Amino acid sequence: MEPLAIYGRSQIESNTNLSRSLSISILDEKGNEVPFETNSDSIEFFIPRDPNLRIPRMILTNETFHSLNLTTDLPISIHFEIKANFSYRFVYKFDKQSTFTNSIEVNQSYFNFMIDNQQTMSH
Amino acid sequence: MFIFLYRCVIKSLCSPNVEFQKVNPTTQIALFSFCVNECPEEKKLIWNIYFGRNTTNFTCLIHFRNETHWKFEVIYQFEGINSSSALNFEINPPPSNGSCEINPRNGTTNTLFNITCSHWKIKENIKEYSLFTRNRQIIAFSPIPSFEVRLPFGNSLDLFVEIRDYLDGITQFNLSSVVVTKQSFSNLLSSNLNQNEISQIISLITEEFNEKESEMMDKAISNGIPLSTISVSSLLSRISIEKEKSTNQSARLEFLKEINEQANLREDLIKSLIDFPITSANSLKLQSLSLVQLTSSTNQLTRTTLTIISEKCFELTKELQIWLEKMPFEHVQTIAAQLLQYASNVLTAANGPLQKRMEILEKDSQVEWVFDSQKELADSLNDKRNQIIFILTSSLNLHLNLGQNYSIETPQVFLSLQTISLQSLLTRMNLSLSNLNRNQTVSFRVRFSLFLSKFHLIFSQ
Repeated sequence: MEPLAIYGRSQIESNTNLSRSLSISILDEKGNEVPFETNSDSIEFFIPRDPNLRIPRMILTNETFHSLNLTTDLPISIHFEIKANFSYRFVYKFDKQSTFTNSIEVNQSYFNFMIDNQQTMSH
Repeated sequence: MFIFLYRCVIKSLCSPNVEFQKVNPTTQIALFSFCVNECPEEKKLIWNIYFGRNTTNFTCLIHFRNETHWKFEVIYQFEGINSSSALNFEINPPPSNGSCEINPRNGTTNTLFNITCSHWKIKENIKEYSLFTRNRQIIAFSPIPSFEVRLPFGNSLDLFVEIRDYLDGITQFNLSSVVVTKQSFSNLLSSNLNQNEISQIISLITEEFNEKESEMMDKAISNGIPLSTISVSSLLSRISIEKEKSTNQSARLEFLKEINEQANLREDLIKSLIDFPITSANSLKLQSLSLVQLTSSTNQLTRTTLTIISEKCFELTKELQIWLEKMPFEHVQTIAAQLLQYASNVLTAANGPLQKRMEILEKDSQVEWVFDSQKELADSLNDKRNQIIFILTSSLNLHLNLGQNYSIETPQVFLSLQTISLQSLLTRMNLSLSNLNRNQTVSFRVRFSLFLSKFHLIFSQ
């Protein structure tokens, strides 16, 4: 995974990925920031991107096995949208390791699944 | 015997009137009490009016405007002894019984429209008449009840006049809607104009700029130029995921040529701006609005423009600080929102080229170290922006009492502030911190901006 944007005189492509930014502060009575830590669980934030981001087209396949090359500079998240007419088990595999999801009941016509960029990292 | 003192948190918003403090129905009164001598620990503390409270602060909003006189009483109960103190309030009646009209009812962007207000009760107490668009953008303010304005283009323009007395009591009067058609606009800024006229002309000119810009953007889209490389879109812009499309290179060059032309026009306009003194809260509103309009196209601001304009942003923020004690919250809200937008525009413009989100303008490319100069400017603006946010946050916080929150939502920035006890914030967010008094009141601030301007990243595995 590449570090995020260059800041300064550099000709390398910048990798902010068109992210917006979110800042959260606790301020005391004088307006100074108070440092804080999370207790145990991490806090998750959804930070959207500039909607003008160009994302690659959806890859449409009609098969039981599909592989995808993830070797790019940018962190990647993968979105699956599956249509099936029977129950199935969805398995995804990075390099040599397999991860199983629960078997899916077919009471919904489409099944959506997302692997975020933390999970695709360093594969 | 103990003596207790208490007064409004913002002194100037409660005008003393011997027996009664005069306040407006729209004003939030915040009272606090404390013991001036050394007091034993109180057993109980009661505020009388609506309900009893056992804290030294008491906040409530007066919704019952029909009642003119109010008494707030605080009772401290100690072991074997009670002590109390009271404060009386009289509600200042807002201006009433008058009307305002606009003439003519239709015209062009070159027409001078006349606003006339008459028969407002307690006429001698009216401080200012101000004209606003329906979405609360100020057009003009005037101490006299009849004044002329230039209006922005619109099919059915809804305007209202705010009539304000010396104690900041306000009444809003809706005008009948007017039709303003577009006519080519020849009037340029000259030195004999007052701040109302300047700001109206800036509105008209920037409206033309914006129209030109949306044409340019439409053309850019149809020629396959990736929008994310030429502009930073607003927080309110809708999801419009672009399909991959090959870029027409000559269209790109044409776009850049036009962007540079617009940037030069903007620079000339900004250079010709005259500094007007801030004469009232409305004057600060008007001037900050003009600067938001002038900076709204962030890909058209040259470094010269940015240098001039960032200085002005900082100056206006300091003016807000100076006027703060004399301003009701609704003024602070509008001005802070505009200054935030303005600061965000300046910052986006300075940082955009560094992250390849927009092109470096031709005028800025004529130095040896283009990126260094841009970075140097961006760095100094980042620092200034932090100071501006610090001042704006504390200006808004002054009006937020325990348990209250306020948020600003603009196309450039979202800001939310909440005044809360540290303990309850930590519990709610499941956070911890050390060596701090958990009983203190803090402000919880969430800020959401267009893009990353400066950041430190720590990667953890």
